[in-house]
Amino acid sequence: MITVLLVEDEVNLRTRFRKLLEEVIGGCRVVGEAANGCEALEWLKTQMADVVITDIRMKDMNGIELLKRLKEQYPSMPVVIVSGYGDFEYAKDAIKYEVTDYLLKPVDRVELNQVIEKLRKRLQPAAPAHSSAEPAEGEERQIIRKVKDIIASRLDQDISLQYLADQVHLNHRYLSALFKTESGQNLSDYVTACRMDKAKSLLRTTQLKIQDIARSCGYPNSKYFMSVFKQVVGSTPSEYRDRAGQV
Amino acid sequence: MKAKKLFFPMRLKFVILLCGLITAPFLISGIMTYSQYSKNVEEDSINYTNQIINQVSINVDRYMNDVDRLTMAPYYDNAVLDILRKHGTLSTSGSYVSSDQLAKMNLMISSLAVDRSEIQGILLFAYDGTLFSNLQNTVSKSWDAAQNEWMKEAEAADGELIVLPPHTGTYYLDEQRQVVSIARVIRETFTNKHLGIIKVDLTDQGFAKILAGTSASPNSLIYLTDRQDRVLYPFSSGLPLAGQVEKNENEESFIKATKRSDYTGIQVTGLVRKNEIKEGARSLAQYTLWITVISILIAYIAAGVASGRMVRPIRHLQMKMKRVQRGDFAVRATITTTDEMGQLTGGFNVMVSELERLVKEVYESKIRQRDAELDALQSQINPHFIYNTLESINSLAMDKQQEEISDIAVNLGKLLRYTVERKERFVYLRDEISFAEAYSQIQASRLGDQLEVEIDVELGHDYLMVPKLILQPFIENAIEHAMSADKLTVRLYTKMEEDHLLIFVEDNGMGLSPEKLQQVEQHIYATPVEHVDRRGFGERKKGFALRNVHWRLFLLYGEGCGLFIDKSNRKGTAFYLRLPLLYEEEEQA
Repeated sequence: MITVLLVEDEVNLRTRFRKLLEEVIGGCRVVGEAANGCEALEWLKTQMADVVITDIRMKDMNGIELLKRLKEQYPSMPVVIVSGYGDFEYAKDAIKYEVTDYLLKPVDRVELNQVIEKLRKRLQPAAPAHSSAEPAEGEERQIIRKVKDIIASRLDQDISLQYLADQVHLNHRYLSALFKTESGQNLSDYVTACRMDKAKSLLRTTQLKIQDIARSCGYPNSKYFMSVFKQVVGSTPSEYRDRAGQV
Repeated sequence: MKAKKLFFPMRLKFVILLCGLITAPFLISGIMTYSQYSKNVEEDSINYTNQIINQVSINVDRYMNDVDRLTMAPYYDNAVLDILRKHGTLSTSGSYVSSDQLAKMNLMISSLAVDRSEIQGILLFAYDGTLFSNLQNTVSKSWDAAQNEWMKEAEAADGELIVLPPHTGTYYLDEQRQVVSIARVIRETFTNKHLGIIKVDLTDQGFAKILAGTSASPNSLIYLTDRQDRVLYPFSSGLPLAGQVEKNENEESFIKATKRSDYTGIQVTGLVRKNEIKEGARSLAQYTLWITVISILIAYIAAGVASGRMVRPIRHLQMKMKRVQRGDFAVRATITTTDEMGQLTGGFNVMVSELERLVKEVYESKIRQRDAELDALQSQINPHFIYNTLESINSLAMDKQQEEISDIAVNLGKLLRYTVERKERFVYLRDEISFAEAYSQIQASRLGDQLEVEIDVELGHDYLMVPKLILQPFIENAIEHAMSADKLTVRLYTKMEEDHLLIFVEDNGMGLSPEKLQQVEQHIYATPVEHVDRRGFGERKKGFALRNVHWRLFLLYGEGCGLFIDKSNRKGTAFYLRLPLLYEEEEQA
């Protein structure tokens, strides 16, 4: 069970958010509520929570300021910001003070669930051991494994989220979220990484032309392939091959 | 601007004009002065030469007169006349000359020759062949008519004075002397009987002395000739003769002056070389030429400087004007003069400041207007207020376990955020797809099971860059036009083709009849006149959204890019977008 300190200036929203966390998503308990940053800090003087979820715009002390203070006083405490503001300035400040996650209003259940999952993993590394959730998790793992197998077998072809979702009989959005929760990685980033691994191995072990390697890794356009390769690996394919050849 | 018309800067024109104006009068005045001066000099020297010649002529007359008087001396001495009478004929007493007679003659002749060094000799010829002279030792005592041709001439003159041109005195014993002579026949007073001939031989020293007195220039020539144009002077020195000189050199190049004496018949001819006269004129011309050249040069420099000064304000103004053309309205030209140029510059400044004011006014008022509009818009729909409201709906829905409502609220929030808040023109394909999904989910909740949107995009294309808001219009279009009683499936997928990304949007709806297809194509490809910039979703004239997408792509990427209709599709409608492959290159590098 994750204990949460909820900081939000609107009472109604706070109440409903609490319900969402405790009843819909589950596994959470809101142990404290505060209307602004000052109250939150005051509350934390006497009590403790696993995580702080805060709004940005509040009277007396806003969420960014609170985040800053919290990072000073409790450096390891995760802080999640929930805000109507997607402004770059806020996001930048939030990243500067090492925000754990940044959710935009209106809050998407699926996204919130992902965040909570992530927090749970971080706070209770041994948690998966508890028995009731085991079959479900095993199933999820199986799905992810299956997806990964499919990806591995189709690296030279188009892989779309829809295709993968069809293969495992899941909604594509759900699959995407599930994948991210389980493997901690974006599905598309995972696919790209797999393709780059394949490319690297082809570059090392074969004398295939870069164009051919690109195609066998699912990139019909070799220029695009080279750009992605450079971004992921840090050098161009030919540089990589040269270096690999020297070793 | 007209092409290839020769460009002369104003300064060059000024310089050419000024130099022309300076050079012309200098040249004209110089030439005129020179010609007038040389004409005057010539006239003056002609007059001067004439004067000299007159003077010489008078002097020669006087000299001849002097010499003439010598020849008259025997008339005043009866003893001499007697002696001549005695020696008048060849026969009577022979040609014997007594010492008494000789002494008398010598006395008389010697007295005549005293102190006259230019006289070679004074000779008295008696008809019996006796020759008296002041030079006893060097002149023979007798003479021979055959050797003295000149006597006939003297006889013919019958007592008048004659001038004999240079000839050789045959009676000189030591050497053949060249002399000019004056001779006269001595006659009996009453009978006019010829008693003898007196002859005075002159060297050219006498004439030289006369001529030396004149101030003729050293290179001028003076000749004396007798009535028969025989040259009397010069004869002994090596000077060239007048005739030869005139023949050798062009007659044009001499100034010639002559004067003939009535008394002796001697003509004085003066020749002065014109070159010599012109020497002076030429040196003057040279002098003036130098002065002219120097002053023209100075004037040219002055012209250059002056034109530079004149043109500088124009250049300055031109430069400032160019900056104004480039849009810099803060430019002001400095006024340096109070003339028309200064007024022009002032006018320019006024115009530019007026322009600046106007531009600022228009610009500022536009900004102000836009700000006001934005403010009004923002005050009407405060995004924060909207998001909070949506959050309220969301949580309220969750509270009541109305998950569909929650989904709608969440998706609407995403939609708003994507269209309103994100200002960038290019986004990841993945974000664009998410937006299209959010939109279709809202629509799906409205239409129930009637709509299904399949997103079948290759995962490797997630991070390609595409212009914002190019996909949602297709879904909107499909819902609007392709809906029938059956379930509508819209499929969205991508393909890579060379350097291009193709995004397909297919539906299995009613499809387009050939006429309708044509109509749609016409509509899409017609040149955009208005509404090009209206993006986003919501109320608007039907079909403009697709057209906008096409023209945005076409204008961004040119020929070959844009919206196309895939006519091979058998059922429903199939559009595809074609755009270059764009990705954030080496972003992390």
